[in-house]
Amino acid sequence: MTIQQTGGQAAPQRGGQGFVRHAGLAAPFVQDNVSTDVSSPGGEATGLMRFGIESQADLAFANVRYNSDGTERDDFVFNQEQYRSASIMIVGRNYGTGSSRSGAITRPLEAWGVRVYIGESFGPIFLTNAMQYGVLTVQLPRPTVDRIADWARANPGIPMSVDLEREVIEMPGEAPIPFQTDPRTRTKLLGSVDDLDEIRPHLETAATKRAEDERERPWVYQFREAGN
Amino acid sequence: MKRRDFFKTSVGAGFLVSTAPNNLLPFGAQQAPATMFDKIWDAHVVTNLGGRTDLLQVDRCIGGSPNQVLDLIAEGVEIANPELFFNVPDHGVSTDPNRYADRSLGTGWQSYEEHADMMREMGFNTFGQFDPRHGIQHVIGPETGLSQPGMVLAAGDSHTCTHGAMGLISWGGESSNNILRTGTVIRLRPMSMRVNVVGRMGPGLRSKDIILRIISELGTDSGSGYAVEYGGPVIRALPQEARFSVCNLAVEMASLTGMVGPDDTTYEWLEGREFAPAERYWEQALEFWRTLPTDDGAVFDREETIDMTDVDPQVTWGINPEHAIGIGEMVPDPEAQPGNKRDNYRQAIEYSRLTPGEPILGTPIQEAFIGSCAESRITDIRAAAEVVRGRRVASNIQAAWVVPGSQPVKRQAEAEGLDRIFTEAGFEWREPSCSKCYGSNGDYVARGNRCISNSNRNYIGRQGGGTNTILASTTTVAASAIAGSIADVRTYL
Repeated sequence: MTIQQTGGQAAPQRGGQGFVRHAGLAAPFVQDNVSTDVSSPGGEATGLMRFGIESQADLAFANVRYNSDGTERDDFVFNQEQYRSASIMIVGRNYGTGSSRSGAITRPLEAWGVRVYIGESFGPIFLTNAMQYGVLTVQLPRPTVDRIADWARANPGIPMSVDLEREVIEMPGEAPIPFQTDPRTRTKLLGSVDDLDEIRPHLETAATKRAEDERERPWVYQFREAGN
Repeated sequence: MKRRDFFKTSVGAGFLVSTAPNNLLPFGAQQAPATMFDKIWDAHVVTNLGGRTDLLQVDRCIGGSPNQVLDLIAEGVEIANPELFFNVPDHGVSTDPNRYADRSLGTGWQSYEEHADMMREMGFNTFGQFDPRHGIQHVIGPETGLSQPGMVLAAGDSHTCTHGAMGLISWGGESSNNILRTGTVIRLRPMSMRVNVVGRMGPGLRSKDIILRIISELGTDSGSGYAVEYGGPVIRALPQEARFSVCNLAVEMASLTGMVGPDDTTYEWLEGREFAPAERYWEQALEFWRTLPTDDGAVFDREETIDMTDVDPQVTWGINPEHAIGIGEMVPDPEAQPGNKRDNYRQAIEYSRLTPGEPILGTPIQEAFIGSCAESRITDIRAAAEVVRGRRVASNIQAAWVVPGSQPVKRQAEAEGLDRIFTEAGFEWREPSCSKCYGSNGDYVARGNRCISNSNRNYIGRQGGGTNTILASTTTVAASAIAGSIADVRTYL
């Protein structure tokens, strides 16, 4: 069982991270097309660093989390008392769209220990990054997502649990909600399998293919000196 | 979806994969029509890892900085094909015109300078900040001839989809470490989608207007799970550089990769570039490339058609690229949207500080930015110069910048006198890098300002905290800088 993580942990490592199950409070952030620019803005461009908002954790969602004078915005979910300790985010459609910046995963992880995103759909690169950092993305139909968000709002301080092994979300007082994960993603997360572990058995095949390709498409492998 | 096997033409016969897919047809059997995506993907599969996930051979990777390579060497890793890697630092590089005189303005350039000879000797293509070929990575790849039809190109940056305009499969979000180690990458095979662009392009319209129109019509997540090919007569008629602008925003419709089939326009544009196939290989490469375009009758998982007839120059008003309207339209009313869009539109109206029902034309702006991997190539700079020639930036504009996409683009523009057209009009002419597209290195929009930008993202805070980004084509941006407000480029032609 993963321990709900608090801020102040070391920078998250990419690759070979695992996920089995996680229990924690859920924060509803059910907006659509929230990009990685929103969850992980460039620090300097926020104009907030002069208020001491400068660590990776501080900068998560900075432009919608703080006012222009550096004070907290009370309409941002993690600034509200009932969600300050949340480590599960309930999001909308096309969450994490846009840029590939891994901060979109690592900053909320460092700030609040966010290990699970439950949403209608996710940006394609966000999915890749999430898996690399052992963060689980759960895709469910919008009505179900809305129902989970309503439950979280109506049950402050009550944790829910997300179990990848049994592929089920459990909220006290509610029927368990099953979900499906891409089989490879599930296997990788449950076993903390690194990409290299998956690739290693096929290195010889890859080398053979490369050798053939070098014969068939020699121009791909030519290297011409710059006309210096 | 059925997997399609690579058709063994007389040229492709040498392409036989040693690990044949289970459902490989007997040699010489007639193959079903295939999409370009399927042909290229299938040719690169090393092995299937279960379900729709394949291990693919990588032909090009934007990655392999000197430090990264040195770390791997120290670990004892041998890099079999260094020539497949090219690395050019762009996001973190200053555009300050003094960055060559004042080296304190450079970031991380020392490693490239110190190790340039070593990297070259090892066979790597690295273009440090002071390399004469330096620029934005998605401009450099095609410009130097590294990105070629039929390839698989993987990298970290999300706009890696741009290179797909050369008729290749490219995507971002990958770490180059494992690619350096193994020359392979793991990827879930997307479904295939084609957007056919038809009709007549009106005066003043550019390829940026096409892709903004596509995204506003189909939705900013319409490409989710798909690899998208852009086709149809309108795309086919585009010059090569204009095709990059289309594929650049493929990721803004949540597609991992965007592509345009290669043709004579592509081959002529590529021929003779530094890393294009050498003369001794050129005919052989051409013959291979001509087998790549999607076959007649090929079936896509999804097809859409976008008609550009009577479409006006596009501008975005809101907080994602789908919020694009014609220059003659009114700011949308959130309450008139379908239920599932209403909240998003309300949030967009609030952040954009615009009034529903008001014309978007004439909205005051404070900054204008021409640059980015979307539209900073020589043909884009020329088009902007034509709008600007003999005119002046409006007095209410606080900053109007032109940032060429690469040093070669910059030098070409200067040779044509374009830089003087911009500076005489009141624009700043700066050094190449990603710059204000995403607010890097002090290149951000001032809080409270609206900036019209020829880039690709208008999300909340993208160009700086508390700023509004209006996306448009290069020439619409140029016209708006002159007007001091969101302008109709056609009145400046």
